[in-house]
Amino acid sequence: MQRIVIVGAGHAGVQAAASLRDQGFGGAIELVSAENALPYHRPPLSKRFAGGLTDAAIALRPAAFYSAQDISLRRATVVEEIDASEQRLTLSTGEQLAYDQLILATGSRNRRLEVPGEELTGIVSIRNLGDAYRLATSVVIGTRAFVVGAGYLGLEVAAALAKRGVKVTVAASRPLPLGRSVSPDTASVLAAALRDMGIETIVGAGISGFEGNGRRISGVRFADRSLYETDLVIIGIGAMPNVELAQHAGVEVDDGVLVDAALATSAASISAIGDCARVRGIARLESVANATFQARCIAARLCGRPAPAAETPWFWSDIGDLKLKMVGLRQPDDVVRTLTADGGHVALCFRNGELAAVETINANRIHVAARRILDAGVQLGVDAVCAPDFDMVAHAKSLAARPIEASRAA
Amino acid sequence: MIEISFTEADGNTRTLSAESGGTLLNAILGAGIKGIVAECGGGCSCGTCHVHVARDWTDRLPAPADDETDMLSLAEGVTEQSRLACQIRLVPELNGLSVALPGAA
Repeated sequence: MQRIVIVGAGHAGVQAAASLRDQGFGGAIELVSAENALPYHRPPLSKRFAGGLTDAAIALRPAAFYSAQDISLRRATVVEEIDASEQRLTLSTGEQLAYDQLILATGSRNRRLEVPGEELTGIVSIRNLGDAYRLATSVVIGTRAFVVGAGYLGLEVAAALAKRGVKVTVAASRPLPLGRSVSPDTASVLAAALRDMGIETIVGAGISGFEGNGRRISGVRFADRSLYETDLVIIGIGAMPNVELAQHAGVEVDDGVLVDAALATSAASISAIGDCARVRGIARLESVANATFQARCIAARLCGRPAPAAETPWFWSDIGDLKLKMVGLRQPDDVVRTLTADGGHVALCFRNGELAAVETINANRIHVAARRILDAGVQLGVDAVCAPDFDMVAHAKSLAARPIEASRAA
Repeated sequence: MIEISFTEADGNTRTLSAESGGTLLNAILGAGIKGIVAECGGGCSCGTCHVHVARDWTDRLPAPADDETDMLSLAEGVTEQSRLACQIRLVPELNGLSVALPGAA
């Protein structure tokens, strides 16, 4: 019997297992997770940690799913080594596990600041369920929080803390929040919203270390030697792909495990998907949509089925009451036009005169319409989209409906 | 336990059992129904858990919030019976609920 081993049980790994069964794979599926918890959704950790996350509420699938689908889920098990020539793994349990096909879905880990004092209690970087619990239980009346990084994670946490009455300061490296990810137009709207939430932003302050009162954080030391007193620090300065396991096995890596368009690595019978993988020639994507899409693609390939229809990359972030959504990959040189529609903010990003990406804040209808239009590969010029009578939703509705099978199944 | 009658894409109907208090989505995922991806984890952000609720049940569910209506606005096969499974909380009154995947025969 064929055996497919999946390393990592985040969105990518679990969806790959589910899609393999959906596609009719009848062999053995081993899903190896370093974590002990039932595999769970990560996005709520930085968005809804304050609301009391329960294991069942954020599980990717109920426990019954794994047994019903005959997926062997090995929790709290680390893959120590890949022997690519023998097609065999060594597990932390001491066991050897042979594979016919190996799918690496090892994800990414948070970057560290690498400054003195980073190990103090009260400094949190959210990646796993334990981090979210630690953060949720760190907040009491009068807590002051210092968030390092104005990316998605930092802003989501900052907004959630501010909502609980925590005095929050965000240390950003650029003048505008999410400066690397969204257009300056959308970032300006966010900046104003953060001020309205009572969140203070410090720009460009180099952090030289953290000071403690005993083992507990008491302040942030800046490069100019000034001290900022705080009770809680959240570090959200980006993530790096977990490539070491692949690298030690001789698999080619470069900001991710390198894969071709079919998600195959440089080693025979080893594929990589999700945050840990980078398709040669393009930037690595960290998103749930990318992880689950690649999972469906790899399952289709391993089952000898056609690949699912391509999807325009999309992302979402909930920053307090702001529902930020992006579809398409914005480039710094894109020409941006903004408008107010559907009661929210819309930034249209044009490249070579054609619509290439759309950012929305609290304008979900426009986001859904833009996704439909970009997925359909319909070219839309600046003049057409910015005409006074253009209706994005009506335009999307007029497109021939994509067959349900192509967009949803697999 | 709550029993739900679920019609899959191929037209076959099966009965799912779920604990009260969870979401319809969790019940569907637990049963290994094909064709439901559910990317966002109940955040009402992705629109990939679209189901059709049987006509005699639509009025017995709490009305959808704006977010849900927006996500469904352009979903494939959207009808007056369309809902997102992640937004339907299973309470004892919903025992016997009947839903189908859009496109089910």
